[in-house]
Amino acid sequence: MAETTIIAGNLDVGGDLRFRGLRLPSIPRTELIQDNLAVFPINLASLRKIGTPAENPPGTGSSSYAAIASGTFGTSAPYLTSGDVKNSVTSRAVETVVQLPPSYVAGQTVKIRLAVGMLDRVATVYARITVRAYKVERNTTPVGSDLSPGTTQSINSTTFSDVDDTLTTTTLSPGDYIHLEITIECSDGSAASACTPCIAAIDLVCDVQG
Amino acid sequence: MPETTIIPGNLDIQGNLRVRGTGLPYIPRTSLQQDDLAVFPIHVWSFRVWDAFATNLPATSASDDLGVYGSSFGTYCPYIATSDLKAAGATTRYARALVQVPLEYVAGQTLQIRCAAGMLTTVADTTATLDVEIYKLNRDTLITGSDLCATSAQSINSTTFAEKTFELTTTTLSPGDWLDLRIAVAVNDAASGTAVIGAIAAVDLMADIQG
Repeated sequence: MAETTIIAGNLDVGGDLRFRGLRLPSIPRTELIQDNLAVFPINLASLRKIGTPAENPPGTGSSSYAAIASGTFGTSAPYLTSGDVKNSVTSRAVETVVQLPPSYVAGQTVKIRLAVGMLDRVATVYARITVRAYKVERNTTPVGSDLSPGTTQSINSTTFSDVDDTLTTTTLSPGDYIHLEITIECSDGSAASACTPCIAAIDLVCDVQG
Repeated sequence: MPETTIIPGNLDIQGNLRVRGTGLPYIPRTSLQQDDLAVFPIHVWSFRVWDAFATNLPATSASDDLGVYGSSFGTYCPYIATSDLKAAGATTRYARALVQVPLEYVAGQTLQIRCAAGMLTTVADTTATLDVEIYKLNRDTLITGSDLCATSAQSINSTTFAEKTFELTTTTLSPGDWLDLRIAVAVNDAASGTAVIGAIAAVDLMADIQG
């Protein structure tokens, strides 16, 4: 049986520490360095028709429904869009449910990140998105109030960029489900050419340990 | 306040290390051992019609689309498959999914798409193959670069299901990148008398990870 050397106080090792047996007790998650703003997927395939979660969004935007456009495989990817909303004022949305990962650090940063922009041209008045987010109570109802600040963010540029919606996380813990609604609003006054607001990607971004 | 023993150089412990306080500094992800080929699921239900991504795969494969089957709970698990292609000649059917490179992926290390695939009922009298194409997304509705799949189409022409692995070129890939994946089942059967069905029972993303 190996001898045991006991150091009653602290041990400060200036170089490497190598141990050939076990590190006891096992390393708790809380002793891993926190990785800030780690990226987790919100797959476009998880999005559902607003108000009718049993149905996928349509392939073409209409009424209050944002659409999933297919893109051409090998050239372009699927994306979320209002569709061509030239010369009109529209508000179209989707919904989904996402789960905070087990590695999420309770109370730390959670954002919904969207890659946004306009195909073809910018709208003559505005094109913008809004996110709403509710924690799921696990009894079919939400709990508390909207976790999103409700800030409307412009997407009215043909150069795509990422916009973040930072949630209030006081009540959030690993494994919590969040019900999301994403709304694309557009006001355009020209019939000359297509005006197509787009969301190319959606991510859950949060602080994690492990 | 407890005393601090300082060892300016290295420390090599032959046995166990027990820490009754806290291990400081906290351990960075890069100090964790790399786990090679960790398995991440690509659920069969996440696959869509390849040229109409808003549309789920049909319940019966037709045209150039694979279908989702396996509705008898307790007998079958959901799987992706062609319809019966006996005597149909050369036929190719597709399905498409979006996949994200996981947080824990070690940039530049191994990534694979692994499929459990085979034939149901009868093998094709000519060929049956599975192929993968996969592109990195550029976050502006477009893909960037070329097909990342470095492996050619593989035969699945056996009624014994087997794992088929497709290697990705990972030079440009990092954690969080989105990938656009299309799988193709190509069956060529001239005159079989019984059902010839190409099927995929599972699809996984295999990745080298830390943490």
